[in-house]
Amino acid sequence: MLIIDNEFYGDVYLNVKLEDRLINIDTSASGTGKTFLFSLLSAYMRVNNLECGYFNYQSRTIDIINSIKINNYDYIILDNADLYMSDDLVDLLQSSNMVVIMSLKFPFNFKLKGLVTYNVCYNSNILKCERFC
Amino acid sequence: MALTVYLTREEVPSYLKIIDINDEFFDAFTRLTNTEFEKNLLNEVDKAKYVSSSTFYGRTKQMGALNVRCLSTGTKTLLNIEKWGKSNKYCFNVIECGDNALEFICDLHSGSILFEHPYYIIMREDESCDIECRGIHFRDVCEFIEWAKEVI
Repeated sequence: MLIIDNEFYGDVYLNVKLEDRLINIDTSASGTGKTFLFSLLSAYMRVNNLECGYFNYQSRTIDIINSIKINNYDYIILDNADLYMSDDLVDLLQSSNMVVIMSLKFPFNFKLKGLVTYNVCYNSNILKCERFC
Repeated sequence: MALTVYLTREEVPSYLKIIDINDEFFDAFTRLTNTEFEKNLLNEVDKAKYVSSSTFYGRTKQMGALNVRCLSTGTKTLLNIEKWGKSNKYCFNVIECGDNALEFICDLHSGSILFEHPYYIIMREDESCDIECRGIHFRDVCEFIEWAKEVI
């Protein structure tokens, strides 16, 4: 579990509560602050000595797979995942122990088990992420 | 003219380059021009306000003017379509657009998009659009979505 409780970080107050291993950030709306959250989270993790891989639209599937195999990630962040997600990558994510935080608009295209949806809310200078109720 | 919608990659004519990575395209080629479409899109999706062709004010005022690269992917995609639609060179994949950004396709009258998963939650009262798909012209977006779901 990762809890960040109202910490001022990157010009905003960060409130994050990650309680699950396979997390999909709700992608039904644009402009909610997903990418901003991901960039802050990856920086926060590195500063706090947590191994974190961060991948986005600039990444290729094969490079992500290879990176996961080589590195001992505690967390992996997959932004714009619809652009590069594959069955092989899903298998790897499913069989690993790392916490996976992704933005995947069409998860039903893949056999992902145990995926939990989280909400991101960004207002004024508060950025919040928690399990979708 | 109308916004041309392709429901599969195979339908997209070879003279149109499919743009899947809208962030990359936007960051390289698209800038703000302060049109009415742009103002509404920026305000509704990103809670943003135009400052210059390369900057905007976001929702955290302390950050000052932000580079347009910080806009959401959905906003960037719609701006790509608006700015480059008339060039007739590109077909923009809208797969990464949230519902709130997608509704702005109703305001477009040119350009081409790849819309492989034709659904979205209708948020507007005004459901008019100007969409052509497989030779059929649609003026009501609900009709288009219902038809597209059947044929895909």
